[in-house]
Amino acid sequence: MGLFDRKKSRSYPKRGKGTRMTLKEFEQRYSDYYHTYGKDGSSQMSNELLYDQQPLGPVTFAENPEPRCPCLLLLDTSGSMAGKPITELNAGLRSFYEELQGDSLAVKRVEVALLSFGPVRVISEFNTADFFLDPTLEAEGDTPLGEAILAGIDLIRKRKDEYRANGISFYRPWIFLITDGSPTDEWQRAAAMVREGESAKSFAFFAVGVQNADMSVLSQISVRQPLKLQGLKFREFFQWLSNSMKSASRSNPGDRILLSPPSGWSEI
Amino acid sequence: MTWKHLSLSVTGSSHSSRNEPGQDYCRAGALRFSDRDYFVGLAADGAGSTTHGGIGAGIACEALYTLILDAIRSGGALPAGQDSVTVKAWIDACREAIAARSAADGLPLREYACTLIGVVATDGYLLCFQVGDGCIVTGDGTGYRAVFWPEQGEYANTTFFITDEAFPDHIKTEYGTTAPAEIALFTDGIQNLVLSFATRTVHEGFFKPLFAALKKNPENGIADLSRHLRALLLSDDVNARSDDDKTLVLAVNPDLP
Repeated sequence: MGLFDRKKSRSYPKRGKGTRMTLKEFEQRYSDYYHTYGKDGSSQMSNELLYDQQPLGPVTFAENPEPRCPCLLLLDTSGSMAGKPITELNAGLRSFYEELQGDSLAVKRVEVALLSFGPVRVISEFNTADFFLDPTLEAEGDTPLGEAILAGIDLIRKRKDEYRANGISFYRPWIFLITDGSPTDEWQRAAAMVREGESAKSFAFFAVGVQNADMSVLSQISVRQPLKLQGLKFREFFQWLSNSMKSASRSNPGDRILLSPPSGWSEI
Repeated sequence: MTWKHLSLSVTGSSHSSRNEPGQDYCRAGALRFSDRDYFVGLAADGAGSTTHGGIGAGIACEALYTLILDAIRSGGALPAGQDSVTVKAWIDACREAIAARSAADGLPLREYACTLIGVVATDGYLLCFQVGDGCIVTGDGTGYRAVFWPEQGEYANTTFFITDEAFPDHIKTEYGTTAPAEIALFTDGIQNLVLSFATRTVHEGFFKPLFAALKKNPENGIADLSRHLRALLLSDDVNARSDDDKTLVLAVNPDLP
């Protein structure tokens, strides 16, 4: 982005009735400045000083990738989600991406990965919201929740490695598990991994139960209190999530990220 | 010839848009003692999650400035070699000063959390120390060097503070027998604009014109330079890339190579 390279106007100064000096004349007249600033190739500086009589010329800034704010969605697409639930989930997901795309900072910083289970499938690896495939999830199969969590944690670990390898700083990843059933596979190991990740602050794990979700299993998996979605208010949930991601991606060192209360979509 | 320096802290739009005060603080000075010219530069960044981080930053810098001046005046008390005991003692004293204030206010010490970076330089001597993020950059005419790469926590919004219980683990100290001709200190609000994290290098295009201007400007021209620098750091374009508070301390010694 060359935006910061040339801040000041390039126009010539108002020099009364005289004609423009040639570069050569400039050099002769202001050789002092040229000696100081011109040799290293930063001739912008000398021009600025000459034209604007400013004590400070244009400085350039380092280009760094934006810090990333990763968010992983583990989405239950088992058979029981068929019909209205999956339609509402798809609509909510679409509005989520639209919200993020509409925010100039969040679109550069928030990275979303989608993993559906029933069976476990990576729908989208971590990407900023401008890369949205609009997958239109379909309900099928059972509820391999344990496998999905393990695959998700692995996805996060790999993404962190990529950030580190590229000198990109990042925020603590968020994992949102959304399910309407109870696990059909072994979930105890996944629960242990979630506890481990939470205590090491490797990620923050949130569980959201839909309709007949087994809330007691969810509360054994998630260290944080699982929340129950009101009816099929996926859109409200994703609205809240995008707002939370927007504020998280803006936080500065030392800031505490405060989630707004999950009102409008959760029971309790 | 003595050190020429300028220092400024500006409030980032994340605070100013909410009418909150900035939480950065800096203190810099040049002094002559026993025929030697010293530069002392300090900067601190109060934690954004605290109510009184900015006050902690102010107390830390002022207390430390006094301590360092005392050390210079008493002669020979500046740490050398691998000796980081003095730096630890200085920061301990800063914490005590902050703790006194927190006790008076009836608030926990962590509400005054701040980072701290400092430089003491004189001919044949350079001491740099740091807790948390922000950075010290030195230039010797051939290039620029980040003395310590900013220490971030695991995540972009975490770092270490002098008020942390484990602060001794995060004190970084470097001593050298050559003072660089150019020194800059800055807080994390600037670091993403002037350091290239992918290559872990200092962005020359920022420091070169600034040091050159400071060197070039006569003593009475530094006010102008400060004003322009302040305007630059408060500009919308800069705030769009970093809405945090920003502190920059610059010093040059035209006599040094």
